[in-house]
Amino acid sequence: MAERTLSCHTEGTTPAVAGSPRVALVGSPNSGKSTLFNALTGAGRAVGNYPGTSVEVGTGRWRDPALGEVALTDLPGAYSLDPVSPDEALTAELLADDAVDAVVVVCDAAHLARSLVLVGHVRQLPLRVVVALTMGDVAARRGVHVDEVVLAGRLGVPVVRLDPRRRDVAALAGAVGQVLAAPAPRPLCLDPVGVGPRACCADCPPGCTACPPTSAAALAAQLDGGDDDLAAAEARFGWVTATAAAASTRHDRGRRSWTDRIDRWVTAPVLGPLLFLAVMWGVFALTTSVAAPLQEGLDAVFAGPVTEAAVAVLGAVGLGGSLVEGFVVDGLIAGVGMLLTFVPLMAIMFALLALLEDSGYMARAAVVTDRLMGRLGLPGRAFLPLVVGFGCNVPAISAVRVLPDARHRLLTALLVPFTSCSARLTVYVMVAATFFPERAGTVVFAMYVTSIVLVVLGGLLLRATLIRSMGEDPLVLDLPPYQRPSLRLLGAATWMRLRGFLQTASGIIVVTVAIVWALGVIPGPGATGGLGEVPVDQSLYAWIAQTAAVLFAPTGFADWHAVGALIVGFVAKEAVISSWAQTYPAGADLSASVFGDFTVASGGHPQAAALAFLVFLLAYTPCVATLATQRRQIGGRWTAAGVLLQLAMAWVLAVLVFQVGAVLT
Amino acid sequence: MLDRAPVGRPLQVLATRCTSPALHRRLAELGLRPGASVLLLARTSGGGGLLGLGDDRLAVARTVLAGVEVALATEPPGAGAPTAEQRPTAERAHHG
Repeated sequence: MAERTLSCHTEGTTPAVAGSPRVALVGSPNSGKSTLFNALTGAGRAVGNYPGTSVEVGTGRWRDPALGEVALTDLPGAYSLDPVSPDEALTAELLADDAVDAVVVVCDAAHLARSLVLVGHVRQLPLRVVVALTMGDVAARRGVHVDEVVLAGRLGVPVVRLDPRRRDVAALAGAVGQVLAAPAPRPLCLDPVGVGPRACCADCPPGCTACPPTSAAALAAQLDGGDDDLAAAEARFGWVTATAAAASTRHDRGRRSWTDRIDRWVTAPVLGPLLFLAVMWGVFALTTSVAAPLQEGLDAVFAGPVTEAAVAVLGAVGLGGSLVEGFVVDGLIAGVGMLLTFVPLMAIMFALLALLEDSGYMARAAVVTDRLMGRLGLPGRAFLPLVVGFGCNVPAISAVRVLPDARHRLLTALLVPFTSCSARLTVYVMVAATFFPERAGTVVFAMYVTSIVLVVLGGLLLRATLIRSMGEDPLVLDLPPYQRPSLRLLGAATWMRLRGFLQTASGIIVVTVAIVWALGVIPGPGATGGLGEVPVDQSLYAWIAQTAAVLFAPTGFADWHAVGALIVGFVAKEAVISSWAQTYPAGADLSASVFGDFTVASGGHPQAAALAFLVFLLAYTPCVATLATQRRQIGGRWTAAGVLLQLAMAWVLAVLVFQVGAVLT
Repeated sequence: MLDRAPVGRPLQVLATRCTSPALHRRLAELGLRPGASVLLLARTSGGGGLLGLGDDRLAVARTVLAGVEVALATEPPGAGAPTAEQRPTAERAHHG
């Protein structure tokens, strides 16, 4: 057993018992690898029906009654061990390092030939291998049948048919147990005319181009360098074609699928982009309209029974009117409670985005935005990390690793913060409902359109200043077939994202609520009351926010409540609403209070000031977690440059929006 | 070249010419290699296209299409790239 452990770039780690066999999952993008990983380990890795969902190494424990405990590793998707991007390079490197005891190659039965490229590369390494055949249902619908017995004979390793989407994965344990109990098979000779694995190189002619290299390092060197000559590549692809032809049969040859019929409309030059905008508008309009009554109901619960119960309980134990009551009622219930009212809204949006991802639409969105991305010097694939950014900027910046070119990764990582993450949505909804009650859904949708405009503007600005040269990486995107979304997977994806939102709420938010509350009871310079007695508008928090508010005079929202919330929002956007709510007395109507303050601060143009506030909120730094991820990905200097760019763009645009809006209103 | 090929007609790849060796390799891995049967299913925004390679679907940019030399195939497209022995004699596309 190999001693080295997989340790770099891991996420979601659940340590296995020391000495457990180490098994790695590899597969081409979108082959169902992460779905299989989740089914085996019970983990919640992100899954999606588009290439490049997994860019990190995931680890987990796979417990099986017969097999015992296995340390399972989910490697980033790769078409081959000849990498063109950092995520693929990581997979190739970890396999070549001999850090695993067995490898499960997830092989898409509906795209057998494509999957066999990777299978062929892995079988040229001295590794124990099991081939897991997935997507059998998709293949069957197309009239394609893959004979796993023939395939196993050709590959010289066990082949098992699985359906991870329906948790039908039981057959894998026996096959993995079988290969772990035996020595690694001989590397495969990729002979296009051979009928099975050949004892390489005993019966090969001298100079056989199909023979495997003698070691993993030699394979890596061969693939990486000029030694991989045309003849070797021909032999490899010939083997792929011959093996796919021998192991699969099809019945309804040539029939055009409904995926093709839909794609003709969805990716059409004019209609495609219009449909994309309509779909995104539908998502946000549906989210806000369905969530509104639920949100109002929850708000009433927190402001009413929850607050009353807390006051009653604290009064009963002798803490009525104390600092503790102030912290619980004005801090925790006002802040965290306000945030929790957004849970239905987030759940609906996450579910709709998961629906688009699982159905396969997101990959089409990358196609229709390719032209736009091209204007920035970016490939259409760069749209996929940017789409992830609409959920959360942190994984989006990690996802830039799917891009082969370093300059593309840099530019995309700098642009991701302009994509409107879901945490900002809470603020949009509150501000839109306050200032534009009749058109709240349209205002929220407009913020997402503005987000796309900011990505373009930011990109053009960076291309004109800091990143003038850009490599070429034209769009080549593997489009998955459309599929009926699985309710279980939609539920899992929605819950995984909602849980992340709630974890942030229960961690960073509680801490920031506590800090804001503490600063709110400490007297500021010139205050008339003592600790815990000072009015909040004379507190240290108000003094800091008022000092910073001077900078926002031209934006129309130079109100200390709003500016204080923006300062807190630098830590996490989830904290904006909670800290904002904390600065008003318990039980006060937040919307009415904010409307009144904006009216005063803007000189009678509250709507213009509200729009300026939203634009600033959208454009400035998303959160400290994003900065940490950016620093890891592109370095401290570029991260700092990005922060300056975000703050400058946010301020300039907010001033422009308010000044123009004030003239028009 | 594939960027000027007719939509919906069976084609056969004669050669791929890419400025980047990595792109050349990737296209080959995805099935777009000499001898492969291919259909241009639709044109997309920016002059790119949707390609059908057997059951696989690829969205590619116009610059990639412009580097793929094709001919009208005499047989309907199959499930993958045929071997050298199986390649039919191809009639050059008038559009290529």
